[in-house]
Amino acid sequence: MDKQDVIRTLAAIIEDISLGRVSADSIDGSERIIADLRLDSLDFASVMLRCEQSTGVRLDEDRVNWAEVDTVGKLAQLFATGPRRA
Amino acid sequence: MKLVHLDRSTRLAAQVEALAEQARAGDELIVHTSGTTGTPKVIRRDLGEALAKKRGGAPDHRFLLTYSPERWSGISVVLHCLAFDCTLIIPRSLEATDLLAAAIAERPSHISLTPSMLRTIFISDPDRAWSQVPLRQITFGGEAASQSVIDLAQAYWPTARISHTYASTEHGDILAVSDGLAGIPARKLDRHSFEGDLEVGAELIIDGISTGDLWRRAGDRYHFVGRREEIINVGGNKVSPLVVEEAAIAAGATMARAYAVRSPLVGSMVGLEYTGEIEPRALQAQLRARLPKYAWPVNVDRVQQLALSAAGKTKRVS
Repeated sequence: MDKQDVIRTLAAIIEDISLGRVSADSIDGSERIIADLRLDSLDFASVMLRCEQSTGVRLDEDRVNWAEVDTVGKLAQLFATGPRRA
Repeated sequence: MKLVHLDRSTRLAAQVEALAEQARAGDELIVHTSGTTGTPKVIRRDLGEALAKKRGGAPDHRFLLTYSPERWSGISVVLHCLAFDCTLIIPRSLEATDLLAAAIAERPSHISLTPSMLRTIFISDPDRAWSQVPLRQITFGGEAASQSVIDLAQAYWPTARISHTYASTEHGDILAVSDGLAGIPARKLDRHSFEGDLEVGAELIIDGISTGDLWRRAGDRYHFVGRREEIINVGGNKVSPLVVEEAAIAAGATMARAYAVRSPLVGSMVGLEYTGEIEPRALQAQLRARLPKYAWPVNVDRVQQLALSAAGKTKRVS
């Protein structure tokens, strides 16, 4: 799965988690997850979990610098190429 | 005890006959706990002693057997019928259709079942045939009876007395409540001790033995929160699956099962499977209005059927 595929997956999940408040079509990857999309830390945890379930990628969260993962695009990049759990 | 068989050749009939013989002889019995949250435990029970403790029966009571006579819940019904020479109606099997057939044919006055079993038999009874059964007493056990379950039973059988019991295989029957309200009056549990915070869920200790059951106190009643090992820890917030399931049912689900999902960021989150007409997204929206955010299910999946355990309870462990 490449980064663009993951962005589309994340966009659909964000639309679902926000119960339609955020449209999947409005997401291109540049949006800041918390500041722009107004998701909070529990929403973020939900997005992460749902993306793991959708992509089958299980990130090694201990090897991720979460402070740098602020946009949809950076999160997608993480799922595309980031550290996996064994 | 007067036995009424729908089919004398079934395994169920043979099990009841064998149990009655053991009880009359005052034998000790090996009982398996329901194992709702894991591996069933093995407990020794003195049937003669349990028989002697039975109270409140009468020979004109007609019980429908709904529980396996291999479980304490079923054994308790058989012992009750033995103690007071009641009639015990034995269906062909414990499937919902056979329970209904036995109830229509033999018109029981008393029935004991779990809240999940009640929901299951109602799902399989679109014509409301159960409402024609002249029940005088419905006793819920095995799981906490919510107000919605009590109200549902009362709507089906307006003149019946609705009770709910708290018991465990380890301690036997502990108490029964029949005031039409969910929860247990505080005075009934105040003589026991608790460990933990009663505002969110403290473990009930009986005679120095931990029950594993968590209770919350609200005003003058205690409410069952769940088994200690069932609680889902969402980033430090404790979520009772029971609370999520009750919220789903109040929002329109017919049955529901909440479970823990491993989360890379907050340890665990809540997942939910349910049956019913309500769409997943509509149910999610309803749950958001009814639950604190940390208890919102991250996955909400509608399924055709939710299986019950052998003890008639909602399965917590897949």
